[in-house]
Amino acid sequence: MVANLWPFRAIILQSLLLTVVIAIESRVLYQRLKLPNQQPLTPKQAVQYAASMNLLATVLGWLTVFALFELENLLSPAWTQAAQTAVLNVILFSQISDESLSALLILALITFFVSFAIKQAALSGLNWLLRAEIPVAAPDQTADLERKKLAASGLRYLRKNPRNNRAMNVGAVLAANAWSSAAVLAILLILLILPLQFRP
Amino acid sequence: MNRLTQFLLNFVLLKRVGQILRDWVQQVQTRLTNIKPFSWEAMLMLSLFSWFVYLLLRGFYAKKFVSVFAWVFLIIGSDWGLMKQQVKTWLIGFPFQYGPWITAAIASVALLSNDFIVTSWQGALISWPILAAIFAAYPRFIQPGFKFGLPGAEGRQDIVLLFLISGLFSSWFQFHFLIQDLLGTYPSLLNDSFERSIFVTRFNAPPSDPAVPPDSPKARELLIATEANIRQNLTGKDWIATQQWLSRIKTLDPDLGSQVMASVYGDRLSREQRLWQISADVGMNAANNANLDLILTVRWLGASSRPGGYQLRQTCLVSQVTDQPPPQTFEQMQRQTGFLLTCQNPVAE
Repeated sequence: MVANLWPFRAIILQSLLLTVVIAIESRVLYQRLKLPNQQPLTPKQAVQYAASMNLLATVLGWLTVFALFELENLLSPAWTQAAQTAVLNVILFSQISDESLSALLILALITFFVSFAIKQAALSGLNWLLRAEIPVAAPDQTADLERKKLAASGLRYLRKNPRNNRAMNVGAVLAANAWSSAAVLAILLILLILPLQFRP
Repeated sequence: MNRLTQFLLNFVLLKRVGQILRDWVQQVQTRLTNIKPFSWEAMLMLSLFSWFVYLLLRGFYAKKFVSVFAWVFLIIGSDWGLMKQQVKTWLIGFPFQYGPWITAAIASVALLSNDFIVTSWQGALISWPILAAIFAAYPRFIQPGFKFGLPGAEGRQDIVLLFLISGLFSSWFQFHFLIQDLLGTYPSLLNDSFERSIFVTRFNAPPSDPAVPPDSPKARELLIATEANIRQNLTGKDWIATQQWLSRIKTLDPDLGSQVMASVYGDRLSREQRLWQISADVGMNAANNANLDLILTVRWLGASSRPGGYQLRQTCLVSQVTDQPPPQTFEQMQRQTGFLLTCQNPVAE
């Protein structure tokens, strides 16, 4: 079976958004995030943390979408057909009515808070998974010179600004999420909403 | 390459055929005898042997049992043989390990052929990236001397990213199949143009002008069926009865629509059926007050590249037949009608 429609634009768009978001968030996390042992992140770690958090949020988002479509198949068409038509209008034809625009805006707001929660959970999960106390059979070969150097500066930084580490991490994740969401919103505005103004 | 051309030349010219065959057999023999008992070649040989046994066996369960062994040996062999094999990707020179992808493809086909977890080819394609991540990740848990152990923090971070990225690939596959399912539910969507979409794209699409409304073959079919339905309803009616029936046509709309749907779709695609709206309007003809205009409209209420959907409209002229010979038989009287229905070509709007 040769398909008629291919989701290549969605794939390219998502790759673009993920690249932008990871770039922005890794910058913010690099500046503001502290590891549980009070060390700052190395640049590589910042990118890895941002990538893990955002990929997790993306995959969970996809699973939610698939679950909603499954649910839609179970319900009676009389209830869901209008909503399904609106969703298909957006996905297949970029036709956004006023109702679906407001629904999208509400959805964007919900997504912002949910993705913040997911990223916070992902951060604590990563911290748990990557903690040093786990008995390891094969230690990393790379000598952590860079990390030791940064650890020294981090300690100095911490002595100057003694603050609650946990609260600071919430701020870091929230700031990263806000910056990246703003970037995503800008890109989607350019792609989706602006062409509406130039329609004949 | 040189040896190959020489071999082909000799083969084509039928030179020294016996000598070549003997050489070839000898080569294969030496290669086979050089296989170590514990190596990936041995695993592939075991797999080959299992497939051979599979062909010889007759019983269903015995075949199934042997095929499991054949697949497992094939997977172990390919994983072992392709371990640490890399290609440099074009342009950016990033090392890419293709072994896990090939092994995962074999594994998902194996799962599919045994109907174990994966039951459709779509499912096989969706599980492929995740299986690839598993095959790429497990060597990190095995230490020299076949001891099991957790990798270091760096390795664990890599594994997390590996699984998340493969989950994203799987989601993309799943999204593709989701759209295919939706198109199966609403095939009429394919008549539209997808040029403005930021999610999907269409190859080999007919060139479409966004100003021209889509002309759906299904809508034409529905119009034809509606016209036939009205003709059937009016059969045998004289001019007065025709006028009476047509004046009530607005109240008959829902009934008419469901009859036409049943004749065109049957009981298939019940979701798409709900998105067609059929309406008939009757008005006085402007040119001749004695005649009636019958306007049939088929409207698509579903998703469309035009805001508010599109419609196909057909105008018919209903005129009285005056010079009609009186019916001779009862049957003729039943079929004879006192009107003429002439329809123009439908117009898409």
